[in-house]
Amino acid sequence: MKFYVSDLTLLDKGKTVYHFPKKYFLLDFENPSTLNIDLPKKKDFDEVQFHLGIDSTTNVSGALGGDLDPVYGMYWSWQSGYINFKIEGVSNVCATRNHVFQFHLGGYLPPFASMQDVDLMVNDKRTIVLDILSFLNGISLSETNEVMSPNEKAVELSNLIAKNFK
Amino acid sequence: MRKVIALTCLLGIGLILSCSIHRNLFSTPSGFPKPKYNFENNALTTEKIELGRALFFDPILSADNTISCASCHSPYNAFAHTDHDLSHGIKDQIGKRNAPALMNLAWHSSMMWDGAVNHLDVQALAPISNVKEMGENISSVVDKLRKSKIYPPLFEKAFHDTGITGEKVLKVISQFELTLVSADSKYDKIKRGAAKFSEQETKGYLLFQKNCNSCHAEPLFSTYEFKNNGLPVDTTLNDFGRYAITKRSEDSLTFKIPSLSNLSFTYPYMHDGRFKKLGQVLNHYASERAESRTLAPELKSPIPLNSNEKADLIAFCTL
Repeated sequence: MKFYVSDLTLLDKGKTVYHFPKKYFLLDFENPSTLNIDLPKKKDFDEVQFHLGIDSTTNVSGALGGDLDPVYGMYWSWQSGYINFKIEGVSNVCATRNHVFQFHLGGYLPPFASMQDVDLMVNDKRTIVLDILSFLNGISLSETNEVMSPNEKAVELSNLIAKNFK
Repeated sequence: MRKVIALTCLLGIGLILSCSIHRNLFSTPSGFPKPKYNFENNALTTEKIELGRALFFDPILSADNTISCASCHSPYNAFAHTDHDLSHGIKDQIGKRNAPALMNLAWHSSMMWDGAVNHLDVQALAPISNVKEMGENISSVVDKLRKSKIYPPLFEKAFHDTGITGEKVLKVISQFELTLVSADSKYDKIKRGAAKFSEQETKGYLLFQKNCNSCHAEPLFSTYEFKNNGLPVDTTLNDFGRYAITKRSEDSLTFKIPSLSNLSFTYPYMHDGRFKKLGQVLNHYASERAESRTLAPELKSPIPLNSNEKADLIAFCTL
């Protein structure tokens, strides 16, 4: 599982107190060091806002570097555009080859623009949780198990993931 | 119609003109519109163009190191795959579209027959990753280049820092491709006042302006828009063109209008290479268009051409 977080912003009592200078973070669960984001020192905040995914301008800006380098497997090759969120797994209910489910969620053009806004109040531990179980329970894997291009389903699933950040 | 100028001797020229380091590696030919490509984000240098050229001709980009970009975009034939209706990739697999000629790419607003690719810099990802073309992925390409003896120093020389990334690989390939400017055919010379049409070519030019120019607009010989030109669906391919990308019914059976430059080198014609001869192309427009909901309005009526006129038009189109 990996996904992009962009335009990460900290707020305190409704006002922006810090905007991360690094615009895009690729969070890769096979590479746990990417899951920790260093916070600025001496900043009080009670709210976090970010985009889940990559904005449309960046999607039409050609080959980019850093976390946006296509070598990370988060850029479609057959059609231009970033994969905002990728999760692959196995479930016995999937009537697919080896019971695999694959969600490569992206798309930047209307009506299938799938980037999501996330806005969360922060706990004392300053940890954000993505409740994947709740996400998977929210879909019927026997019916929906392969979404790998920009379409209605990709938008629907992206929206569901965004709601499961806690 | 035009001879592609591949700037294969850039390095030599660069040495001769060593006094002007920032010499112009790309200029807009007279009469051409402003390029669409934003050179500010990928400023051309001789070293980067040469590196891109090396990669373009190197089968290291494919999974089994057998297929290079040049395999299907041959410099001998206007960077097209002459004589192949559909191109073949690794393990003799056949793709589903005709490899287009590469030229004047700085003026394209999207790539591929269906506009699937939105920027020249990410174009190479498509053939690299397509299982029927190079069957590779950019991450593995970068690994192979890092391990090669030849490439690390070339990247260092071009970028003045160490390390090979996907971004660098893609951008230098773009740089080479941007130098494939076609602007010195007899047509171009005539437009510059350096040559003259024959009588037959003049007749062909008038027919072209009347019947073809709205889609194959001068001087690039394409508007690069997407149109349905009335080809019946080949049921062995079931290719609906841009519809696959946009999922909009009005885009069904539309394909990017190809440029007519270098036409005598780029046969066979159409997105699936179904026509071997230009005569077949003209017969299609004159009498064989298939009616359909998305047929280009310009082609609602057949283009009336008698056999003399077809010969005149071909004389102009293959200048």
